[in-house]
Order: sequence, then C-alpha cells, then structure tokens
Amino acid sequence: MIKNWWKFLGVMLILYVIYKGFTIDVPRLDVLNETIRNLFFHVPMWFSMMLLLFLSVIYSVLFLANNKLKNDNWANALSSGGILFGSLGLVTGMIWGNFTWGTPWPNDPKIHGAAITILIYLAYKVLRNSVKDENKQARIAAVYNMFAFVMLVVFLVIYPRTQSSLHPGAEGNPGFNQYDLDSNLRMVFYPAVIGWFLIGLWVSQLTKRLNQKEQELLEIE
Amino acid sequence: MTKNIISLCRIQLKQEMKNRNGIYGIILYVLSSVFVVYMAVKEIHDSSVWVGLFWVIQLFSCLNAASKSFQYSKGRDLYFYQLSGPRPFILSKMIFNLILMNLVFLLSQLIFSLMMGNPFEDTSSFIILGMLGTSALSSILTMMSAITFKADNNYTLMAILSLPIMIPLLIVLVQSSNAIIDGSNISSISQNLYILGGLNLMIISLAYTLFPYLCTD
Amino acid sequence: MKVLLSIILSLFLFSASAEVNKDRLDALPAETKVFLFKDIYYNLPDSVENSVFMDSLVAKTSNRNIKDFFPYVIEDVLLTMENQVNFSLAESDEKAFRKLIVDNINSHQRSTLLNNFVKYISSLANDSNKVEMSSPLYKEGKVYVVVTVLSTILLGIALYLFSLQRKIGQLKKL
Repeated sequence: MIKNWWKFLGVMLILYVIYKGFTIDVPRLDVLNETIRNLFFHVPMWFSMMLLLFLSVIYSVLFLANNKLKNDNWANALSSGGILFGSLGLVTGMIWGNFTWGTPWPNDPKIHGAAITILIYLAYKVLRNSVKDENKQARIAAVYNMFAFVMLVVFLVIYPRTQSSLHPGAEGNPGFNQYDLDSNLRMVFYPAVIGWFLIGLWVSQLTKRLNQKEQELLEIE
Repeated sequence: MTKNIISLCRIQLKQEMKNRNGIYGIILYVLSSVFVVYMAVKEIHDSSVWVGLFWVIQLFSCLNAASKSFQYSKGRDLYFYQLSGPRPFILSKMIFNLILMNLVFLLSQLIFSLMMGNPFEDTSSFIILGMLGTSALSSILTMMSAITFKADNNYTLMAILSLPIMIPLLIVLVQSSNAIIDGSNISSISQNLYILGGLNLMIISLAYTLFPYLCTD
Repeated sequence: MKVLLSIILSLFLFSASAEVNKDRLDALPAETKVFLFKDIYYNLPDSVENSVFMDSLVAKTSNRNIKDFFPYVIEDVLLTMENQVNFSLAESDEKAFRKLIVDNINSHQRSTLLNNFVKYISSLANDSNKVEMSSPLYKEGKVYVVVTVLSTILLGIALYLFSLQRKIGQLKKL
C-alpha cells in the first residue's frame, strides 16, 4: 500500500482538478466561453503523453545498456500508455475544436504533429508484433523507439514554433501567452498535469505487470 | 575506417552492376508511377498540385529503392560486415543509397517535367533543394530498411515505419518547392535548407550510434 | 505600377495588429478564413491613381522610405480599400505581385501576414456573423463541451482498463 502512494496522489490531484476546474473563476473570452476549462483536461493529455513516451525512451536506452528484459517491458507498457493518452488528447481536441474553431480537423501544425506521433507509435507496436523472439524484439523496438522519439522532438516541438497556427503559443512564443495564464488557472493547471501523468503511469504499470505475467505463463507452458 | 567504407561502397556498386535487376526495377517503378499519375491527371494547371504529386511519387520510389537495399544481406554481405564491423557497413549502405536516390530524383524530375510540364523558372534551385531533401529521405529510409531487415523483411512494415517520420520532411519540401515556384531564390528558403541538412546529419549520427546495437546477434 | 504594388505590399506586410480581437478569428469557420484571405489577396485595386486610397497613401508615404511603412496598422489600408471597387489583377501582374511578396519576405513573415490579414477581416465581419446556436452543447456558455471532454477521457481510460481486465480473465483460464 505504501509503495503505491503516488497512485493515491494522482487520484487526489485529479479530484481536486475536477472540482476546482468547474468552480474556479476563469477569464472571460469571447468564443471560448467556458470551454477554457478544457485547459485542465485536454492539454494535460499531451503533456502526459510526451512524459510517458520520454520515459519509454529512457527505458529503451537502459535496455540497450544492460539487456534486462524488465526495462523493455517498461518501455512497451509506457508506449501503450502514451498511445492511449495521445489518442484521448486527439479525440478531445477534435471535440473541443469542433465547437470553437468550427471544424474538428483544421489545417494546423500542432494537430499534424499529434497525428504523426500516434502513427509512429502505432508503427512501433506493429514492429514489435512482427518479431517472435523476445530479445530480438526488444532490441529492434528499442532502436526504433529512440529514433522515432528524436525525430518526434524535432518535428513536434521545434517545427511548429516556426509556423503560425490556430493553437496558442505559435509564431515563436512557446506556452500559453496568448491566453495569459493567470495565477488562478496556473494553480489548477500544474496539478492537472501531474495528476493525469500519474494516472497514465498507473495505467502503464498495470499494462506492464499484465504483459510480464503473460510472458511468465507462456514460458511455464 | 574510411578505406573500409569506400571499399564496401565499391563492392556494393559491383554487385548492383553485376545483377542489374534491382536498378532496372527502380527505374521501371519511377516510369510506371509517373505514367499512372499522368494518365490520372493529364494536365496540371495548378503548380502546387505538381509539387505535391511529384514529392509523393518521389517518396514511394525512394521507399521502394530502399527496401531492396538490404535484400542481398545474407551470405556474402554478412561476411563483409563481419570483416569491417557494423559502422562502416551502415555508412557505406547510406552513401550508396544517397547516390542511388539522388539519381532517382533526377530521373523522376526529368520524366515529370517531360510529361506534365515544368512549373519552375529556376530549375537549378529546385534541383539543389531536391537533392538535399532526397539525401535526408534516403538516410531515414536506409535506417528503417535496416530495422525491418532484422524483423521479418516485410515491405508493408517498412512503409508503416517510415511514412510517419517522412511526413514532416515532406511538409518542409513541399513548402520550399512552392516557394521556389513563387519565385524566391535559394537564399530566401535557406532556413528550410538548413533544416533539411541538419536533419540529414542528425539521422546519420543516430544511425551511426544505434546500428551496432541492432546488429549484435 | 510596380512601385505602387510594392508600396501597397509593404503596407500590408508588417502590420502590428495589437488591437485586433483574436476571438473573432476563432468565431469564423476555417473555410471562410482561407476564402477571405484569397479574395483580398488577389483582388487588390488595379488602378489607384485617382482614389482616396492613393491620397491617403501619398500622405503617409511622403518623404519616407518604404521600410518606414512597416509598423502601419492594416486597418487603415483595408478601411480605405472597402470603398474601392474590386479589380482583379491581370495574370502577369499577379505573378509579379507574388514574386514581389516572396522576394521580400520569408515564409515565416508571410504566415504572419496571413494571420494578420485574417484577424483584421474577421474583426470587420464582427457581430453579423454570430449565429445563434441552439444545440445543447452551445448552451450555458459551452460548459457542456468541457463535460463531454472530461467524460471522453474517463471513458477512454475505463475502456482500456476493461480490456486489461479481459486479458487477466483469459490468463486465469489458462
């Protein structure tokens, strides 16, 4: 129980965010109206996804360094979590965008980047499944993971900043300067990011334990 | 090490020359796909359509060319690899693919212009842009081909792995090509050229670092 | 003629549109924005010699370098343009026009131009475009959009955990 302190922390933070998120005073903006509250639900999806995928790459590197299958299991599970949160972010973004920008899929670099991330990691899954031998699978997947993540960082973080886009924080200034995150929103936003990330970590941990048990059972047979 | 790389490149060239099937296959693929596109659109009025179709054809031709690059890597190739080590091996494959794909680019540019007109007034800057872009493309595809060669050597798998990574590259190339059509010279798209060149270097260094891990069997 | 084009151009290019309301931009659907931009872009006045537009231009440009126009606000020019008849540029002029744009600015500034153009046009369009939406998700200041988003997230996570649960069930059967 004590080992899982962070799971409790995550749930508490999310409850706090849900309560505060709906009751806090938000700046009044013309088209967004109340949907600015999506800041606490849609945006942390992306942050969690990037953090989970980053952890996945770290575990891939660890695996290449010392060849323990445990590291590879973590890398696999974290990438599952990343794909889950990425697709959730994409779907919620489409819902949000449909009612504010008018269309669920505008011609916007950040959306393109998000779609590319998900495609890359789905390809990672297919790659994993196409190799039967465990060690080989882990090694090839680790190499592709590193490659894909570096490309991702270049094209999703650096490239959209050089373009103009419908999202805030384009044209050179990162972050949310457009909506001028006041301290009120910040107080709910940062816990939201941490809380959703911890939930993602919990989901990945469950996936990893399941995969590991599956492997052990198959080995016993 | 440079000697190793050069001799490996030379050996590969001799292999391709002996069994010219691979090269003929690539040329035929380019010709057929350009012809199919021509039949589909006959005449292109909008230059951005020309650019888009050209780069898509180029993408798939290079994909095809790269998927053949590790095909003979059983037997004799393995012997050479064991002699020289993994790093010269991958570098020589990359250099070879770079030259091959640049030639493919020049060929497809020629055929495309022949059949569907040349929207460029300043063709030389497009060729420079295209060669830089195709070099980056070839590095990515060689690396992906190495990965899929280790895992089942399936053409579909290679397409799935490389297409998402090539999409941003495609965006940069299409943007720069459109800028060249609109009349800007090389220096005004220099930012994009730096991106392409930087990307190329980054991929080559990643491959240089990661390939040995891929190959420890 | 080319000089005039370049003057008009430079006025459009580097406008500091600090007072423009971004949310009016957001209120327009995406297709409208692109269409508006293309309309303005390709329909600049052909002959401006005897117009109010030209007078105001000359007044602003006397004794100045073209580069000094850069901070001008786009509203000025477009307001005067509203009173002009739309001419469409001849083919050759259009090409020269685009070449002029491309030669003088890089793609980043061009996309800024696009944004500023559209922002201003949308502020011109203002309240006549606000359509009364009657579907439930638009009521109560669209807070139900947030509810939908949150429930989607929770539903997605729940579905994923459910699939994990099913896998555990299958393993237990082995």
